[in-house]
Amino acid sequence: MDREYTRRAVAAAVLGGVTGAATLSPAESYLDRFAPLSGPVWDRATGRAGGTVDSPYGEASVTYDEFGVPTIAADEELGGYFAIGYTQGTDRLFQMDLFRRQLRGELSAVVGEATLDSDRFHRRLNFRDAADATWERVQGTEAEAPVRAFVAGVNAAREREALPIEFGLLEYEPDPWTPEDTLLMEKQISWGLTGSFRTLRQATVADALDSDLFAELYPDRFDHDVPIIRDDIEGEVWGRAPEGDGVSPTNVDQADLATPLDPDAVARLSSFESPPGIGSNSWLVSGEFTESERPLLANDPHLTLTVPPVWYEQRHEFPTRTVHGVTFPGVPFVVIGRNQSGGWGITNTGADVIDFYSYEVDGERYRYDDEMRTFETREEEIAVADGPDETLTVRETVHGPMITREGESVAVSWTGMTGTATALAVYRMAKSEGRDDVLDAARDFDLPTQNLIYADRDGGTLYLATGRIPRRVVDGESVYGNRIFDGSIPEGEWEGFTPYGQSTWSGFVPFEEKPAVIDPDWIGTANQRVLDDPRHPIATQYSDPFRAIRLEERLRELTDGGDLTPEDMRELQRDTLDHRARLLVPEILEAATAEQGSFVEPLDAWDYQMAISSRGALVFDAVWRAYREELYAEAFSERGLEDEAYWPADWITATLPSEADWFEAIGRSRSSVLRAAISTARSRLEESGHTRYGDANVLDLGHPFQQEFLGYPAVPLGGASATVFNVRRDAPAGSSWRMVVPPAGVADGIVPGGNSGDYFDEHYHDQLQMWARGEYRSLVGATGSPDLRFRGERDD
Amino acid sequence: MTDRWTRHVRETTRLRRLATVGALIIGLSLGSLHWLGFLGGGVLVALPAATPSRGVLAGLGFGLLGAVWFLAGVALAGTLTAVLATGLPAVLAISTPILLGVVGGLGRTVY
Repeated sequence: MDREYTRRAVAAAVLGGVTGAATLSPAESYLDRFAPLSGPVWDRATGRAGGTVDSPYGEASVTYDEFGVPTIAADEELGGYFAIGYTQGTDRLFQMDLFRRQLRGELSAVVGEATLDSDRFHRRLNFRDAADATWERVQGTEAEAPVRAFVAGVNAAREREALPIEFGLLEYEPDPWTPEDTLLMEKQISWGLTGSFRTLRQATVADALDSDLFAELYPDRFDHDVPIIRDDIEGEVWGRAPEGDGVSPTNVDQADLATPLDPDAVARLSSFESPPGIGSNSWLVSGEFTESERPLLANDPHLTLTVPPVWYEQRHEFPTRTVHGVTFPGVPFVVIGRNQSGGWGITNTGADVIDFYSYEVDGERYRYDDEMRTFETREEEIAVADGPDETLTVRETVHGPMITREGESVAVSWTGMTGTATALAVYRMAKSEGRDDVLDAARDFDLPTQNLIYADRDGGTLYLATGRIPRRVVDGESVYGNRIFDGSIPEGEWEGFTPYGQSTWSGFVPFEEKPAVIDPDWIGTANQRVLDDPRHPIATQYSDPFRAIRLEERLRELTDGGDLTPEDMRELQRDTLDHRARLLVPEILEAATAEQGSFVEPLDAWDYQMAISSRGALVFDAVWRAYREELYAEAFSERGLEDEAYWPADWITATLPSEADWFEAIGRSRSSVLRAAISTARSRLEESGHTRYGDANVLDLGHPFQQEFLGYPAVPLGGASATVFNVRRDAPAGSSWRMVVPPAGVADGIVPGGNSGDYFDEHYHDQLQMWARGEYRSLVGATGSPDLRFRGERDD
Repeated sequence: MTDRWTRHVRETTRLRRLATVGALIIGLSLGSLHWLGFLGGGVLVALPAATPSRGVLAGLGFGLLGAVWFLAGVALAGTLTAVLATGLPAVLAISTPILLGVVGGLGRTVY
């Protein structure tokens, strides 16, 4: 009997012990999340809700195609926008919430203290109030109702559909989506494109280098002759200075460049802007050069490559229009795409739309003109998961928020820190019926500064630099923004700009004086200098011109031949010729010693194509990387500039002549630096075992949540940061969407991954391999029975 | 200690099977609401068993059924490969009902 009792007692103890341990220990969290049938991590694994959805905005349907791209059909557009919100809320809700949290400075609340620095930065810049001001600007316009319908659709999906796996992993549920959140997405992408601390970096470098070296390594203008608006362009050109009245490339002395921030602080700030290599390609050719006698347009914006992709593809079929293209998750309107009348694309202009101000400071007061003002100060609580919350003190001046690092501060003005009407412009572009409509819509495209190209089916073409461009005046002269202005005098202020309010833009470059070409014959943009003789200062430094040079070369050849087809455009988007190699390979071959000869031998007959199977591309890539390190790593470190962000642009590296002062400064000849780079490259390749470029140039995209299974499969790629077929593998960036549009025919496109952000969806990365191979999908409507139907009467 | 009705169920094959099937259904229903349901389900399917050791086996069977039920559900939805590719989360999901079912099966030893 005792034995029986003992056995029962032991069994009861085990039963109770396991129950207690499971419910009262950290194991409970894992069981709550991962248990089968009830764990939220698996909610999406058993399928979507589908079926019929109640909509207060009227009937609509959603049909997904074989790549998970929704065709949204509706008799009334608000019903359609509700359905668009529903599809994005189903397919990309975690990504939307992540971006929202990042910009609001609320990441740490779910991620923990690892993201505290990000939260501090984003709260200081106060993107949230900027989005609130932008929603205020949009209200009362024709874009307000579509935004509201879209937001309602997102929230319907949020409530009705199972949440994506990431919410289960992080153990939280998203807050309701709001119109302000949609406009926060505009700020998010615009900051990535135009938020730059280059002025601070330049000032830091100027402090560390002799003036001759600084001028050599950081010229105000890259020496090339392929501006976007080339001298022989046909069409009506705007924004060019009257003869002899252009602004000089620069009007700042090195002595004027000084920053109160130390180099490490500036380098850390640089981590909050887009990684290097962010740029884009676009071009159009008019019907004069095409087989169809109608224009052709191509665009591939180069952005950070992410899981899921930064773009979401969608097709709207409304009675008055059919629009197909991509948008940013959280945004209802097609940003890049085509409609029944024409197609449009964008690349980054690189205009300088951010300025920095330093002040005479006395405690909590700063001098502004002839008075001492008190900083506007507020305290914010940053919630931190699994840690103590943090109180952050945020200060602002009349010019904008203060960025404080190690006790030193500058104020920032950025054109995105105010109410902007871009959402209205993009909405009107989708509704446009030709070039004139797009030109008119672009007047409201306040942010960001973009090279907009457009071609319509009637033959109309357009190039236009969008966005508000500030004018700074110092001592009565219009100047560039490549200096830190004295905010106490005050100097360089933007007239008509109200931080976190509504701006009149009265002192900005007038629309008709910004760069534009009406009816260009052909034009190519690759983030290079917009034009050689601008009427107003736009920017000093643009992107490296390697892609621009190759693009112009190929477009000249193609337009000389005539009878161009969409396949010619696709072929050009696949171009992997690296202009860096054309510049540097002869020097490498000349510098190599006899002993290094066999290693560099593949470069001898190489065609400069960064092809997957190429040995020459592998060798060049390795030598190039080593050459940069040999040139700058030690010398910059000795000058207190540890971060690679300070190194000169690749254009300077590739064109640095043997007699450059820099070689004297580092005590080495160019040949010896190249020989050292060759040796380093050879050692590295021997160690890695790589035999062809595709072995090294592998894109391995991870998910922001850093769970390995959520990442994409690694893919070998051709191309490089300097080629038209664009990829940068280190901080992954590249062609985030490739599109070719014949306005009167079927367009093609592809995203680097999949249209769905749902890990369990078959469309999570079903386009990745096609994208890597340079293939396309036809942008046509989905057929078959709708996957979702929206029923209900519209509430008026 | 065990009441007469329980003994009757355990000793009558038909009633035992009926009770086991009922317990399986209730157990799976509870398991789909909360992971503690697998523990409770293990107890329920074990109670009609003829002996304590069979009770533990019944709990194991119930746990395996829970795991298979989960895998069949995701397989039908076409996501089995993706679920297995999650690695540790999938191991946790599959092992949870099995372990809790076995522990629940000890309930027969107690009662």
